[in-house]
Amino acid sequence: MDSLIQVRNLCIDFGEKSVLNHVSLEVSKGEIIGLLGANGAGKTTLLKLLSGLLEPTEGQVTVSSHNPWNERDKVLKHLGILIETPVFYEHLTAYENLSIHLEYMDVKADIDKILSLVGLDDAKDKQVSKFSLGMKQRLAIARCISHKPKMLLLDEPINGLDPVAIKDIRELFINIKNNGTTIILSSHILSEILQTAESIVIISNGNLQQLGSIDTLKEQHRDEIENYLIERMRG
Amino acid sequence: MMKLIKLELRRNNLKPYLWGSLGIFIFTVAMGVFFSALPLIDPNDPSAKMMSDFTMSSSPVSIIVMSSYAILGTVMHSKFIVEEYTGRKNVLLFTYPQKRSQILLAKYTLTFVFTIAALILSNVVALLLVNLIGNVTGLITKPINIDSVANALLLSMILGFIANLISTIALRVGFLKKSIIWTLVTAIILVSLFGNSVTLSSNFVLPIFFAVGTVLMVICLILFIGLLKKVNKMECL
Repeated sequence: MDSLIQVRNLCIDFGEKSVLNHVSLEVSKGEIIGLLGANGAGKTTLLKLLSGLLEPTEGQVTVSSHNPWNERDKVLKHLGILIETPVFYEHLTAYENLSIHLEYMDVKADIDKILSLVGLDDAKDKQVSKFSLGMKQRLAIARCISHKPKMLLLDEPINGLDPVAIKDIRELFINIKNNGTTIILSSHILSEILQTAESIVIISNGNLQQLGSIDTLKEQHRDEIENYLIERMRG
Repeated sequence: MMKLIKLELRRNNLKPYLWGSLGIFIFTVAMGVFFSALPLIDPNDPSAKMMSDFTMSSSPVSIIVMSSYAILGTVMHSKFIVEEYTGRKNVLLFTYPQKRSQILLAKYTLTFVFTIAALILSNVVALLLVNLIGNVTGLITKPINIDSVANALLLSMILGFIANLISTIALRVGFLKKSIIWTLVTAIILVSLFGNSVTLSSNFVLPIFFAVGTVLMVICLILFIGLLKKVNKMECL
């Protein structure tokens, strides 16, 4: 399979604190990778490094054969990014927010269709400042997928969503993945990762703890899989 | 570049700044009428005559207008640049596949053009209106001519340019300190210094305008290039 992301000996320090230590991994085209870790483990930092929002202290990252920090224009057009709490132009409507995003991405798309995919078709003319947390999260997902990126980097994408929306969004991710898009899904919710992802990466205190297929892990650990993963998250 | 400026126009609400410009315009007209009445109190006082002509660079109205637009430009820079790059919105800005320096330049250009255009329009229209009011009320006896309008136009351009230079320095300081308050306080200090130096040296106003303008321009250029580099290397922690 083609490697879309290659990470080799990646390290990043914030002052004296080492946040990621010699992390190496490869991600192939068209799979969903679950990125698991406790709060502060380094998941968001890894996603920021992949999106060129941080410069590594050491090591190499390539996304679609480009360095995200030095060639960010080339990398960013292939990425759909949802990192931390989504930010919008709050005084504009959902439709206007997506329209501006698409202009920046130099892409034309059917905004009505995208909004209906995340269940926001009725709220397209509503100002984002009047949105609930869950609606903002759905709009952020819509923005991520609107320009049809090769890869989605999603940090806690189901935050603030109700169970129905979680189910719908999970199905949406699987559909997108079936169309050849790679998804890296970061979460600290084990059940979510186990239901959505195909492979798993565990980060604990900046170290890579586990890398492998969920099916294999399920086979090896059966009913004890959650306990096993929690142990690995502890480091 | 034009596309990026258009996007800035779409995503930023310019209404408060248009209202601000209208406020400055009304204030300019009021001050113009007030100062044009001064020679009536003491017709032999030369400074009263100088103050009444607000196409002169040293007139209090010119200094107040320049200061007001420098502050308005600084508020716009604070909102469009300092707040966006130092706040949570920088993740959004930095994930667009556009050159970071071009996005910054688009934001800067928007404020620069807005400030100069609003100042020129407001000053020239205010000049015409003050003359009209002056003629009707008898405060101004000399009719307005094309030279006065041309002077007002030239002066407005120079004032607009200086207002922008001041707001650029304030922007850089605010960006460095990651603070809107620092941005505004720097602008207020700079307009006070500039206003005082011009009014204190009214005999040498034009050379002072050019000298201060040139020094400010060099400083601004250095600071702005530094800002472009800084934004290009900025990380989202």
